[in-house]
Amino acid sequence: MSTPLGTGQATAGDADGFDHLIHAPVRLRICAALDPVREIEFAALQALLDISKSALSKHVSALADAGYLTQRRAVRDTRQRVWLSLTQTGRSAYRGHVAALHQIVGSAHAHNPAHAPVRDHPGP
Amino acid sequence: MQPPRAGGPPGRLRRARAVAPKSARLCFLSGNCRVADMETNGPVSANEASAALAAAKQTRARVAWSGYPAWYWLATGAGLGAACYAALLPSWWALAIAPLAGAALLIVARAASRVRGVRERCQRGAMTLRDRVILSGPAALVMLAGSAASKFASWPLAVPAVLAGMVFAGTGLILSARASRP
Repeated sequence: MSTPLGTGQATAGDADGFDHLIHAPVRLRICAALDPVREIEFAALQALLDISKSALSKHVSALADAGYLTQRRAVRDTRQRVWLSLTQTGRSAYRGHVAALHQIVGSAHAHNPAHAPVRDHPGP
Repeated sequence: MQPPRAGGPPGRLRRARAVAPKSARLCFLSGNCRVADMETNGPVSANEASAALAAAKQTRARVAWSGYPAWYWLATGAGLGAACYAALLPSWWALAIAPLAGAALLIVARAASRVRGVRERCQRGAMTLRDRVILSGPAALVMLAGSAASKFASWPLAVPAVLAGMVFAGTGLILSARASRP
């Protein structure tokens, strides 16, 4: 799925499903964290990724603007907390992106056996 | 009284505006280099793709294991030990204890989920099948070996159940602590 940040360059990312918006390292990790669960609290995700609140907020906004992520506000222990979850679009985009990465690694491995593919990854 | 702003915004902002129209893509080159590094616009090599997959895998593993409070593993180990003990009892005790232990485990899991700030899905959680085998395998082996040995040795039935609970709690604590490391 192409995104607002996609450049459309002829890259190894010609593989179907490659998403430039998701491929940014922090956003890829955000999606990887949110994919297997229903939702994660903002502070928990921040601790998990070990990045600053502002950086996480920026990337969450980028993903939310693309319709990949939703935010839900809930009060717990008299404090308002933000819960983040991937939308169906975001989940399928992430899985497509992971499949595209596997394809890139796999095709490189086919041409040059020195490239060992990464295994045991949640595929689509 | 404010001075007239003939040339637009001051120097730093003017520089930022000069860079923006040159490329259609999102570009932070004039301002924050670290943010610019986060964007990927060029070709993606196989090495980069491999590194991205490894990062995603590592993040998933951290979600699966980190954030659990210590009491979760201890309480779950105790609950599993009680359930195993009930299963070994040859009478209706099993029917009475097993549902109670199951309900207690559910309550503990929900409380831990609230503390972690992670709500897992019902069908597929963050833990892979391999993770579950690593977590439960040693405890199951201890349980089976203990119950088999209890037929030959004269020790109480509670011993293998307690051992299985302790092994489960210990495995969970160790793996959770290892995943929490940066």
